[in-house]
Amino acid sequence: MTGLTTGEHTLTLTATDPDGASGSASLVLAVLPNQPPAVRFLSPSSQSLVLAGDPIQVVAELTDDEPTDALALAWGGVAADSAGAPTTPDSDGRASLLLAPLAPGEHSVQLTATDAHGASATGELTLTITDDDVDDDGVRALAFGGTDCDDGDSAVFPGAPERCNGVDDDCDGQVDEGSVNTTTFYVDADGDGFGGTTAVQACALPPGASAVSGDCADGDPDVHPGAAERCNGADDDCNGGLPSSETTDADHDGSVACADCDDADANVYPGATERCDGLDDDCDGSIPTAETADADHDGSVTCADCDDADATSFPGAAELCDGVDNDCNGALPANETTDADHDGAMLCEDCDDTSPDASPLLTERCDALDNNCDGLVDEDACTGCAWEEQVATGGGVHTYQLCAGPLDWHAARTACLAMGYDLASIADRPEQTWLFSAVSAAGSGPWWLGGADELVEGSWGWADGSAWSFTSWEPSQPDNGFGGEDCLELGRFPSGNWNDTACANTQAYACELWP
Amino acid sequence: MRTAVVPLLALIACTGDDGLSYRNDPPAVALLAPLDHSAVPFGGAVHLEAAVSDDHDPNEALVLSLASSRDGTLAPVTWT
Repeated sequence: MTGLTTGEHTLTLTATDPDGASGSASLVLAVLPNQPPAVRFLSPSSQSLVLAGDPIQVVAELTDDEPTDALALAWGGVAADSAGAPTTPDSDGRASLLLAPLAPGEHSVQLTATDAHGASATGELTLTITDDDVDDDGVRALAFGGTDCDDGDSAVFPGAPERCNGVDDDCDGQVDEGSVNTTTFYVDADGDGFGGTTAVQACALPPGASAVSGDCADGDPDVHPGAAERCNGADDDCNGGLPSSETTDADHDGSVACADCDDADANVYPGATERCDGLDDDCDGSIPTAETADADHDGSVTCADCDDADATSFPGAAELCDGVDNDCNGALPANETTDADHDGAMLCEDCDDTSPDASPLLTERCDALDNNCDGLVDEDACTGCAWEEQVATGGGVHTYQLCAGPLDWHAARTACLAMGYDLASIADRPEQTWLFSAVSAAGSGPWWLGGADELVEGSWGWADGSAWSFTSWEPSQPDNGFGGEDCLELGRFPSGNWNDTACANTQAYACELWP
Repeated sequence: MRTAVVPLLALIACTGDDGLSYRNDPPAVALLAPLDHSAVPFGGAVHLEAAVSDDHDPNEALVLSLASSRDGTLAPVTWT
């Protein structure tokens, strides 16, 4: 019994006898849904090695719930248009097809089986077609017993020309030996990246060679095309010439421009002696410290300064009376070397280089001289006398010694003369006023002055010979009292006015030294 | 069931060739294959096997019919 539809059936069998009596029995039967047929390729297997050019026998097995002879077959892929392709399985449920030779590569064969109810299934077979001479170089691949060591490269086979490609083109086990397309390299002895004139043929850059030639001095790595020109008179960049800086000497100092740090200054070149000019004369890249330092800060650098520790010595400085070459002219002025009076003091410091009694080296003495050259005469040098100075009317410094004495007028004058002085004379009111003040301060008077009228009574004059042009007598004086007052004294009266008194009196006295 | 069958048998009576009347039981039918509540694939042939007997009539005299609750009357049934 066939033809039952899908689903659950209650089958009832009824038997009826001729008399119309009937009996029956039932059972429940499930008819499962229709299942599509199955397609399975039996050959060739997926692992089969199929060579290009060989015919291919394809066999498929078909199975179905219903008899397979009812299946309709349809071929696809490389079998789609194959002549004689069966459209139904054979009695064994198989379908066979002989495919024409296929090209190397992967190919697909599809077989679709459809049952009477429209259910279908498709099986697919992938055929990998191989070639024993895939590269068609005429030599069978090693895998097929041939000698082609690379059947994927038609340029590789025994006897093929070896080429520079990192491949054993001729299948002799060696790579690139005796290649036909080598490159020319050049021996680079100095390793500067540029070869000389010696050429080498090789596939790859050999050690110690360069692809670039042109090294005009292959023993010097600093000489090659493109190298920086050094100041050496050589063609470092191999351009066949020298740069002008290596040939020009504009200042004619014997040093070419490239070596000369100042080719416009003939005093500046390598090896030149450094001068004190603030320049790098020897082109060593630095200026000597002596040309920049000024230790004594006198405005003159060390090399120009004859004594860079003495700020008073530098070129142009004023000569000082110090026995030093202050102006750095290499010599001392004559006044720093002359000592005419041989007193140990040079002319420039000696207040009187004609007198050995005047020198800054001496101690002041009481001799009417400025012995120690301090501009003062006998200051504090005369025993028993007080020293004073006064600028006289009209100029000139007058020195006074106010001596305690006591001496008579003549002895006093003698004492003044012994010191180089004379008894003081008064020329005008300012001197009168000043001297009276001075003696009043020096001590008790009265004080002998240089006035006297011993020779002619009433005819007064100064012992030092100066003009008797000024008087400052106390009223009623001079009175030549007691018939013998011929000498002039100061300080008898509080007024400071003069008095005539006896020359034999002993008292203090004032000596004066005119300039 | 037994209770229902008995009256029915009593109503059906036949007259034989000998002129005697006798009781005529309906044919006995038993389905042997396939098993009740079994399943078969679609499209496959179903081999139905049954045992049929009758108390008076030979099997060849019996008329067999097979019906499906889904497909209705099926093809004529033949004795084998």
